[in-house]
Amino acid sequence: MLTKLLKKDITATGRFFVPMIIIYAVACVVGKILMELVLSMLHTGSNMYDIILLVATVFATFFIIYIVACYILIRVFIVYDFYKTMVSDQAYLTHMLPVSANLLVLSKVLAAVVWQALTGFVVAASIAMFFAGHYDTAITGFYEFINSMEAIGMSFDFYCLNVFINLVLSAFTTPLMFFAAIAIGHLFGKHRILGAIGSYVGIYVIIEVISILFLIVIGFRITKPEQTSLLVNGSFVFSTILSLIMIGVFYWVTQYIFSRKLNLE
Amino acid sequence: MNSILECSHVNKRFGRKEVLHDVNIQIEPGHIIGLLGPNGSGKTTLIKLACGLLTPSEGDIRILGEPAGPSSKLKIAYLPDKSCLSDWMKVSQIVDMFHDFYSNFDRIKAYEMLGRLDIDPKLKLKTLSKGTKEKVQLILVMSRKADLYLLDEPIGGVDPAARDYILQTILTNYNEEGSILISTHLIADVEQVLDRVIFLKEGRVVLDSSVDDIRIQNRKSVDELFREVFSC
Repeated sequence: MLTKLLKKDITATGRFFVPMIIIYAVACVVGKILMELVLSMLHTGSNMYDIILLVATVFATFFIIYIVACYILIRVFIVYDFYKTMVSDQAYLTHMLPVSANLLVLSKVLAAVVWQALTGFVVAASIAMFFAGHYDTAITGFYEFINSMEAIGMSFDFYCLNVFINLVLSAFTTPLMFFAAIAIGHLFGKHRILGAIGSYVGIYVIIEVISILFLIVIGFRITKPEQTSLLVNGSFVFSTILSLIMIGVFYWVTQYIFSRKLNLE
Repeated sequence: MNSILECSHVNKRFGRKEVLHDVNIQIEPGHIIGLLGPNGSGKTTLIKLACGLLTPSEGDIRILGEPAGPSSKLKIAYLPDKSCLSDWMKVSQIVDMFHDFYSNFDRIKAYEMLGRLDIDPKLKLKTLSKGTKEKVQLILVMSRKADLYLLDEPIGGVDPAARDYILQTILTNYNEEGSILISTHLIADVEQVLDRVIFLKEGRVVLDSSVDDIRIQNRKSVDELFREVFSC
């Protein structure tokens, strides 16, 4: 049943994500062409340089705006689909499917993770594409980055592993935090949207307070500049543990409300 | 005989407002039951409770002896009083989805019914009229061999010709080993097909009787009795 649910959810959310990713990919190709044109004209001294530079600058501005919009849109799409199918009109169909609330929530989370992973992959590919032909510059910058990390006592492998783990975990915590907020909002009778927004803000504040408390505690233990790695390494471990707790709690709350407290008025 | 639906001392409150009060109902297989009452009497709430879309404030609801859950949802075919299908989907995609999830869904039957109404399965739902969407939803429900059909206002808000089609579709396609619970306030249109009626008034069951008993004992049609019970 999970496979069938995933097929349904990925198809439903795909109508938002696929055009968004295609537009991004096309924009990257256009951006790369403009970038190479600007660089080649810079060396040849073409009289079209100023015009192409202007076009490239305007394009780059819109491209950056689009990237920011995508970051927001990913969340908007995930929330919209969850709200529409779990608590709004289409929820009548969703909750009449012969599957448990547990599977319904799991499928929504996995669909959100799939799209975030795919978007992440496309972004990584686009970065590689932009650097194509200019790897010397990129590799120099990369070594400088490794050296600066090792200078403060950090292991590059440890850093990469933690960044990867936290990226994977955030693909779960981001949608689940929205889902839990919508589920809690569902308990607020006639003020469900307001309840969901309030719940999200409440959850956000609690997580921020916990994070700040951690930084204060660990901050007092740092007395020398060489101990900076303690803060960074500690933060990684802390955020991993916090993310795992968040995933467990948000998932449990969401599926509990939809299995025991469902009220589609 | 095992009850298909059993409601024991069911209460439902929304905030401070009590919508259903101490409802006790048993539905056995092979019946067509009218859940009758004016607007706001609690008909939709009772059906949603039976579907597991609402949680009772008190009391117990069982479908073939089981509480609401994934297995009870396979046994119930529910027609809501509003459209719950995704507008962006094609009719064929929705049929495929029902086929994927409900083992008792008959895809051939669904396409036959769509064909009789000249509904092109390749069309997206958003391109169909409100009435056609309602018919698609009804076809999906009646293409299932369910134990209990819960139909919430299936003939509400449609013209008399469409009412005839809807009632005909229900009567010719339901699983005769199961039962149908139809909620409506349009008594005259459904009276001929009902075996039993349940009158709901302000969230309370005020009458639960066979149609034959009403005719013999009260010497009235269901419609006449309804007007008498619910007169303003």
